[in-house]
Amino acid sequence: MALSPEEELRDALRRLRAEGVQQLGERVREVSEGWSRLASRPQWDDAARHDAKELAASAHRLAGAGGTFGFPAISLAAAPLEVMLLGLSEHVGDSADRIGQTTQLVNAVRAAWEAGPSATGGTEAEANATAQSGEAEAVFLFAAPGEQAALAGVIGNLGYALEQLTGIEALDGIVPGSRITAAVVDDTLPEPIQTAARLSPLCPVILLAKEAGFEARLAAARAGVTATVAKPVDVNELADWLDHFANHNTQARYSILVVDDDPLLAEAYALALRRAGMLVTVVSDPSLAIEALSATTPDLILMDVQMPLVDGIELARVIRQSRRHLSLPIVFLSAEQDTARQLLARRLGGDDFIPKPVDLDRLVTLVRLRAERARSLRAVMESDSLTGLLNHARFKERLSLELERAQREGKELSLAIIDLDHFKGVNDTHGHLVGDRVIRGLARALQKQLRRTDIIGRYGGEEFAAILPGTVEETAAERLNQIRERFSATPFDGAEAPFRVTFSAGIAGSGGHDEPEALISAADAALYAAKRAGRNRVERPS
Amino acid sequence: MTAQPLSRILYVEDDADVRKVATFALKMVGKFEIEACSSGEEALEKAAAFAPQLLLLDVMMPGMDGPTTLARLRELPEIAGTPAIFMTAKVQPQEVQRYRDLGSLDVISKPFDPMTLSATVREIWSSQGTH
Repeated sequence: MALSPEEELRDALRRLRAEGVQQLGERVREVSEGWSRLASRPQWDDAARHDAKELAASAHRLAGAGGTFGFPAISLAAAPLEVMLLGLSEHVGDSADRIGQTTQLVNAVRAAWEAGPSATGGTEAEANATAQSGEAEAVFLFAAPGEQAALAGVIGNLGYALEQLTGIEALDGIVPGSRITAAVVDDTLPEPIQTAARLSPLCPVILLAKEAGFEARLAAARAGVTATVAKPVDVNELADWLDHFANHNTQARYSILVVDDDPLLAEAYALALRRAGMLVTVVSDPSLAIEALSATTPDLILMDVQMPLVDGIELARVIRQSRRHLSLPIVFLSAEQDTARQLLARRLGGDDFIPKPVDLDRLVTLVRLRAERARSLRAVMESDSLTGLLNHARFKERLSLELERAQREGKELSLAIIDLDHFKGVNDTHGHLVGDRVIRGLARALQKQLRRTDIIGRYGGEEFAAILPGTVEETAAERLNQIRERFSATPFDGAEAPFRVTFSAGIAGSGGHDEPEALISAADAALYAAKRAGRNRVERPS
Repeated sequence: MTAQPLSRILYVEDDADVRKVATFALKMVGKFEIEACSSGEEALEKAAAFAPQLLLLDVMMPGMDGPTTLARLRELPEIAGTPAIFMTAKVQPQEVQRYRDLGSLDVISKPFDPMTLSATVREIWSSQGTH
């Protein structure tokens, strides 16, 4: 039977691929056997370096061809292997660490070959894992027809693109891997838990539930629900979750500082982390680590324990001396077998140990987990629990930084201090819960109406502050005035009837103020003037 | 600038197996005329006589890598204005920009799908000048 040209083509490609796969297998054997011979050589002489160079070329070909012929895992291990072998061919040093690490990578290449070709391309999943897209992402809403319109209005007002769906069948058309901020499932649907279970592999699921007791929450958790919001829905709570998931998806890449006195090993670790989408800075002189720390503000430090002159434990101690770095995760790489010393290292601030030679797959997984947790912890520690804004201490730190930057770049920034008018009266009349809602309402108004680059903090009880970089006093005052007008027109649900709240603000520009304290005093004085002039107004220093 | 229909491509890739698959795909699927070279040196020898409309270069090659090969090729008067595309594993957005800065139209990531490679090349070719 004659083949169509299309089939003929596919057939020919299949044969070519089969040849390629066979070649791949031969190269894996070649590298593996070549390395066994090389590793057992008593002397690391010119001949050995020459052989290492040839093996590096084979590793290079494995890295290039592995993915093409359906073995992406071979490429992943062969790329750092090439780095190691090239290094061994160029340097005289053949430390046990280097030999051990190279052996580990050769074994990883062989294991990847023996595991067989991967069904999916592999690179797609990788690309998805590191993809950063700035596009607006959709929120899916599943609700009974009667509730749909009201909920859609609420979510739409929060600034999210909405897809309204009434039945689970609608999910069939969704491509796995689509970027969805979250799905909101209302429990007025016939089978909310089943719907949630279907959705949870695709995106975070928020369940709007009338029943928010333990049993109900457990059932939801088992279905993979990430968040439960009790009905009647508090808009702020729902907004917090959606913002949380939206930020979560677009978070910046993890920044990792690698400290290892062996530049070759450091480069191999860095390569694996970079391939997983992280930003990596390598320091092979421990005395430069502190400098690199402030230059790169990493999410995590990966550090060798055994280093000459300054060892990893001592370096961890130095890093922990700074308050800023108290919670920075430090992961040690160590061939250390001595449990007493391991314990000492942990006490002095090491969060984890990874044995040498390093399994690079495990390294990537562990570093990602640790960095992720450290980031969420930091976000909680640095923010005000009611509003999610920066807390007082962090805000003042940012003010110093931003002032320095403005001076360096020859630009002006403005500081606004904002205070709710007669807030005590709100608490007295409507209760603290309502008061909290007003605080959160103002926080949200500032977040929505200021720019993304503006920095907002909760300064104290009913007092807020905002830094507007690159903005002169006059413009900042105009902007705050617009926010003031809109806010004063927004009704809140009161104990009996809806009520309105106003705020006063004082603005001061950085021109003439070099010190944060002086700028704060100027803005404070302007705020005081606004209060004295009758409140519900924005003032600048006279 | 309006792009001419593309037919002549100079392709440089050090790995024989990968080269075979890509060359085959570009010829059979894309109906392109391909001069396939195994190294930057070979490309330098063959480029002027072949007079390609497009250069397709692997980035990571032992000896002369893709960017170096491109720079050297561009020194040839015949190739000075010839557009180029790099092929490389694992492309990240900021790397694409770097390769563009080095003078390529775009980057095709490896591994590539042989059935769609030609379409990708053609797409990049016809979008030049529209950036």
